[in-house]
Parts: sequence; structure tokens; C-alpha cells
Amino acid sequence: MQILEFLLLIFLVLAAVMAVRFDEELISIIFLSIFSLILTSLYMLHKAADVALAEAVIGAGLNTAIFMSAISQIRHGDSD
Amino acid sequence: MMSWMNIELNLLILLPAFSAPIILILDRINEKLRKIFVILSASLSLYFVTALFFANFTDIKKGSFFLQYTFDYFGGPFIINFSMDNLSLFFSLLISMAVFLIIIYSTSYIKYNKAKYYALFFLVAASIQGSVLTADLFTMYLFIEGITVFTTPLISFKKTEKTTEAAMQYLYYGIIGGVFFFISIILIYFNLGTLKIAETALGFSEISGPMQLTIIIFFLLSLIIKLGIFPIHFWLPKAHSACPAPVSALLSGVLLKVYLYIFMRIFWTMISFDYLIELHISTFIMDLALVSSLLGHIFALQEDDFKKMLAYSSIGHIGMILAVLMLNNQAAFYGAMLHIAAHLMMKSGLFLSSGYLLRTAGSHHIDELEGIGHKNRITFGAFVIICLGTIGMPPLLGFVSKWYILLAFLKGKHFFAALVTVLGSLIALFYYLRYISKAYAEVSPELKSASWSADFAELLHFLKGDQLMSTIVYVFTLLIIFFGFSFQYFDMPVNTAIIELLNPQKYIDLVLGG
Amino acid sequence: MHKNFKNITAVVVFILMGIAFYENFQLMPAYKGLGEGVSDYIIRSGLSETGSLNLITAVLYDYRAFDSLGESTVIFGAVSGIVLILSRKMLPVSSRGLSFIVKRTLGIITPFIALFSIYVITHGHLTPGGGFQGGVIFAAISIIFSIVYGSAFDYRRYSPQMKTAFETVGALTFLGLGIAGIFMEGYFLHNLGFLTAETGTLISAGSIPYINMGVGLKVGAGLAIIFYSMIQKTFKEEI
Repeated sequence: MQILEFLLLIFLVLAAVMAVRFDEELISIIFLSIFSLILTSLYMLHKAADVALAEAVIGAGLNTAIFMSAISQIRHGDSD
Repeated sequence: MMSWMNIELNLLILLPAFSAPIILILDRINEKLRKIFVILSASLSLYFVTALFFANFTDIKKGSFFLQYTFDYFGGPFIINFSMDNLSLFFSLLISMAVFLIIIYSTSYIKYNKAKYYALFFLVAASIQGSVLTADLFTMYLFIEGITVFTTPLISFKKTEKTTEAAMQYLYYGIIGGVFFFISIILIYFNLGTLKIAETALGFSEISGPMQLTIIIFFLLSLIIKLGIFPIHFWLPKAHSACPAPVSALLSGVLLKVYLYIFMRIFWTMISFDYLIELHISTFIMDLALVSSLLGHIFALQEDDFKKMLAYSSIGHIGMILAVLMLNNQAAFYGAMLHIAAHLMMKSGLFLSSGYLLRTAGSHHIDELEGIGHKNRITFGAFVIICLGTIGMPPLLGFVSKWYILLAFLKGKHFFAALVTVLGSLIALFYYLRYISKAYAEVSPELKSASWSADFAELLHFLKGDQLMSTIVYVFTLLIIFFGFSFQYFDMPVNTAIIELLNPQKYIDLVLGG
Repeated sequence: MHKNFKNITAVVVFILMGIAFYENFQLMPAYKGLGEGVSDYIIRSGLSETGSLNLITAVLYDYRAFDSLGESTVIFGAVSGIVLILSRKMLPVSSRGLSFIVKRTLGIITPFIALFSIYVITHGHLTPGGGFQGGVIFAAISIIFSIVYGSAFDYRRYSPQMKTAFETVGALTFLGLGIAGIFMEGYFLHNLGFLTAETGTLISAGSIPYINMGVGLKVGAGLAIIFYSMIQKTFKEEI
């Protein structure tokens, strides 16, 4: 269990760094979504099911959709 | 079990909060109905507070006035409660009065998107009342966050590039301030296991020294951002000048006072002020506030945008009030409280009149204001009177409050502070005169309105349409003149509020003793 | 050289910040600080007082229901604000959407997603979840629809006016239950005693399930409105 948590934490940091490092917005958003998923499993490991559900639904689902729509707004703005 | 006694406390917050969705529904049904409901709801909120004031008049006078409303399971620790002592009552009264007048003003000022505007405005009013009345740290954070979120769309109400930028900046700094506030709350909860202000006040001395310092610093950072004190002040003029006039009046006139109230609640009632003196933070804040005050006035002097000038002058006044609060004695509190009341009326009045005057001018720039004094003679006259009040001319309220602040500084032997106060007034005289002289500049005769008699004839229709706006400005002007002559009416509420500040133990006993 | 300097400064600042935060959190007392306060009380007597098996829901919609009301009011205000700022007059009409396979698959899955969200909302007092999470899942359905079928489909099914009506109904449900608390129990948002039933059954825990439903409606409709007003311009050019 300890090892799993440690691995997840490393991946969490990696995902966060990746989300910052990439210039392409789309990839950054995908990495943010991955970040949320890892965070969800960490919450589950700590038996915080309520928070995990909220994080999965909002962080991985809704946030990604809203970011995507914002990105597509920006791109359409460029083509104008 | 039934606690009908203090249910008003709840209603003060719930009435505007309820009004917001109802306004959105009523707007679908009938526009006239919505307009009536807006005025009704605003006047009911004002009525509740004044009724509270007059019903408990003898208690207030004795200083034993205390109401509280608890969401309670019997036997358990308190969960959430609201409480009202003399200090909160003083602020609640002032705020309700100003919000009522501003809402009446906006009924004729706002021309489009009315339903959303009023819904958001009432939500802001609810959050303001809530943050004044709450006795729980997390609820207070919630209301502060609410104020930030609800005012942001109001700032970008005009939907231009400039207003959107200002609103985004306001949101960022507001959220950052909120996060600092939240960090302090979390630290308090981890250390004491409670979020009630009274219990925190009791247990604060048990927290370890470095932790106390961390908590105090995060609270200070948060409130300095929210108050727009010097190093982090640049968002304030942008935000306060971008929005429609009634929202500017709300932000500058009312919201800054609410943050001052929260400052007092936290640093006098919850964290005893002795900690600030012990850690030498109070002198530091005082210097910072004085520098901020001076810089605010100097920035106002070189500002060519009318509303930005008013906003910079707000920075100057708030810095002065914060500095005088740091003296921590009766005379200082008296001046500060009086100036809070005075500045609330004057700044609201100035922003509201600016909204009316700028209707006739092209833009906010100083060059466009030429001859505006000839076009709206009486309203501009009122504007000049309020300006004189802000500068501190003798018969007006602004003079009285500034005089007491000056006396407090001199009594405390803070000559630099006294110098800043006087210098601020002097600079204020110059920057207002710049605008006033521009407004009375000689223009071609056809721009002038027909005659004085026509102006006075307009005065008679003071409740009709556009005249309503100028009427509200006159109301603020009359209030300033009236209280300038008879400021002793403020004596009783201010003095009883000061007693609360000087004896935090009383508040703690009353809240915890139920 | 200049870029390297910038990077190094950023790293140094981050490390210093990390050390500062670490030092600060070292100061925090161990878990015992919580053992004496409010949380201990809630763990001890939460179940008997509220009848909700899920203590988090008990805290959210009973003990600190006023704060939840405030939070959902913040969402309400944010939705009003976003609609105020982003509102445009033209209608989004794009009915292209994705391919046939995706559309069919979604058609089969959608009822189950809806069922799941209803489960999360109504079982908020028994299992993890609650009005907020379930409401977001509801909003996700609306979002998936407008991505897969094109925004016109979602618009015809549930117009923004209807979503606003849903949102207001949710808000008024929450507030109405609060007022009912005043009249029947004497306190605002107090748990309604006559609704309490045997612990663990679906309709128990007083007014908590109904508050959950109100919050679910409000959050679901509110977030759908936010997404909707954000995509409005995106599909303009595809008419």
C-alpha cells in the first residue's frame, strides 16, 4: 500500500510538471485531467470516498470539458 | 425552543438572498412587478435594521445590547451562529442605509440587463450583511468569497475590454486575498479544533508562538489586499472606476468599510490587539497605512480620469482610518468610527453624483468635463458640497471626523501621522479644485441651461424618472450637512461600539454564555 | 544566459517556498488537536442526531447547512454573472456532431448515466456522494450531448430558459426547506423531525435527501448553463 501511494505521488508530481511544461494547450489539459484521476485514486486510498467522487466528477470531467470549450474559443478567435 | 426573538438577524441575510432568485422569476412574468419587488425588498431590509435599533434603544444606550441566533443542537458545541453587538449594529445600520439609497438610485440608472443586475446586487447585499453579522470564521470566509464572486460580474457590467480586464484583476486579487484568509482559518482549526470567533479568542494564547505569527500575518496579508493598502493597491482604482456608478458607490463606499469591520473583528475581538503590539506589527501597519494614504492622495492629484481620481482618494482615506485605528485608544476609535460613517456617505454620494454628471459628459476624462457645472447646476452644487466635506470644510461631517482623527494623532504624539492627515486634506483640495474649476470653465452660452428658476422647477418633480438619481445625491448631501451640524447624534452609537472594541471579553462571554 | 537565469530564479523561489511551507506545517500539532473540537462531537453524535449514515452529508446539509446554502448561492451568483457577461443574442445552431457510431453508443449509455446521477443524489445520506456530485454528473450529460450531437440538439431539448427555471427551483427548494425549518423546528435549516425514519432506509434522515435534490437541480442546471454560454460563440461559424 505504501509503495502504491508513493508511486501515485510521483506520478502526480510528474503530471503536474508535464501540464506546466507543454506549450500545446490541449496536451496540458489532458495532463491536468490525468492529474485529477491520480488525485482521485489517492483520495480513495485514504478512504475519502466523498472527496474522490467530487474530484473525479469535477476535476477529470467537467473541468476538462470547460477548458476544451475555452481552447476552441481561443482558436476560433485566431481564425477570425 | 422557539427563538423568535432574534430571528431578525437571520432575516437580514435571508431577505436579500431570497430576493435574488425571486427577481429572476418575476422578471419573466412582469417587469413592473419586479420593479416593485426590488424597492419593497430593499426597504424591508432597511426597516428591519432600524426596527431593531429602535426596539432595543434602551439596551443599546446601556451598552448591554446583544442578539444572537444559533443553528443549534442542544448540548453540542455551537455549530453556526450569528450575533449582533453594538459594533455590528453600527455597521449594519450604515450599510443598510447606503445599500437602500444605492438601490433606489440604480432603479433609474441601469437601463439593460436589469434582472441579472438586481439579482447580483441583492446577493452582494446579503453577503455584506452576513459578513457583518456572522460569529463564525468559516461563514465569514464564505461571505467574503461571495462578495468577491458577486461583484466581479457587476464590475464588468458594461462588457468592454477595459471593464473585463479590471474585473479579472479584481477577481484574481480577491481570490488571492481569500486564499490567505482561508489558510489562517485552516491553521486555527488545526490548532484549536473550532471555528467560532469567541472560542478562538479564548484559546488563541495556547497556540505556539511561531504559529500565532503565521496566522496573524496571513490574516493581515489578506485584509491588506482587500483594503487596497499601498503595495497591493493597483487593482482598486481600476475596479472602482470601471463599473457603473451605483456599483462604484457600493465598492468604494460600502465594501471597504465592511473589510474594515472584519479587520476590527479579527484583530480586536478575536486576536487580542496586544499580540500586534508585542510583535511590533502595529507600528509597521501604521507606517504602511500612512504611506498608502499619502500615495493615494498624490496619485489622485495626477489622475485625469474622474472616477479613478475618486478611487485613489478612497485609498487615501482608508489608509488614514487604518492608521488611526492602530493607536488603539478611545479617542482614536472615536475619530475612526466617525470617519467611517462620514466616508461612507461622502464617497457614495460622490460616485453617485459622478454617475449622474457623466451622463451628460462624453467620457470620464477631465477635458470632457468642461462646462458641466453650468449644465446641471444644482447637482453639481451638491457635488461641490460633498467634495468640500471630503476635504474637511468646517460645517460638514468630513471636518468633524478629520478633526477628531487629527486630535487623536496629536494626543498620541504621532506628528508624522498628523502631518499626513493635514497634507492629505491639502492635496485633496487641489485635486478637487482641478475638476471643479474645469467644470465651471466659461463655455458658449447655448450650452448653459435656461435659468435658475427652471432648475428649481425641476427640483419639484424630485420623484420622477431621471430626477430620482439627483434626488438621491441631494439626500446624501443633506445627510452630510445635517450630521455636520449635529454629529452628536453619532455620539451614542459610536461610543457604545467603541466599548465593544475595548472590551472583547464581553463579546466572548455573551456568545459563549448563550 | 538570460533564460537560464530566469529558470534558476524560478526553481530557487519554488524551493524556498517549499521549505517555508514545510516549516510551517511542521508547526501544526498532531491529530489530537482535532480530537477535542467540533469534529469529535460530530463523529460521536452525528448519526443519532441527523440519522444520516454518510457523516459528510450530515455536516454539509445539516450541521453546516447554512454554509452549503452560501456555497450554492455562490454558484448561483457565478452562473448569473457568467450569463450576464457572456450573453449573446444569436442562437447556436450546429447539428453536425460526431460520427454515427459515437452517437448510437451514447444513446445507449445516456440512461445509465442519468440513473447513476439520480442514484448519487438520492442516496447522498447513505453512500458517498450527494447533491453536488450528482448534479455535476447531470451537467455532464448535457455537456456530452452538446459535444456529440451538436449544440442544437441539446438546445431544442432543454432551452436555457428551462435550465434557468430548474436552477431557480433548486435554489428555492433549499431556501424553502430552511424556512420550513424555522416554522416547524424553530431554527433556520433545522432538520425536519417528522421526516425522520429508520436509519439506513432511502427516505430517512429528515430533510437531507430533499436538500440534496434541490442542490442537485441547482448545480446541474447551473453548470450546464455555464458550459452552454461558453460554447455559444464556438459554433457560430458552422451555421
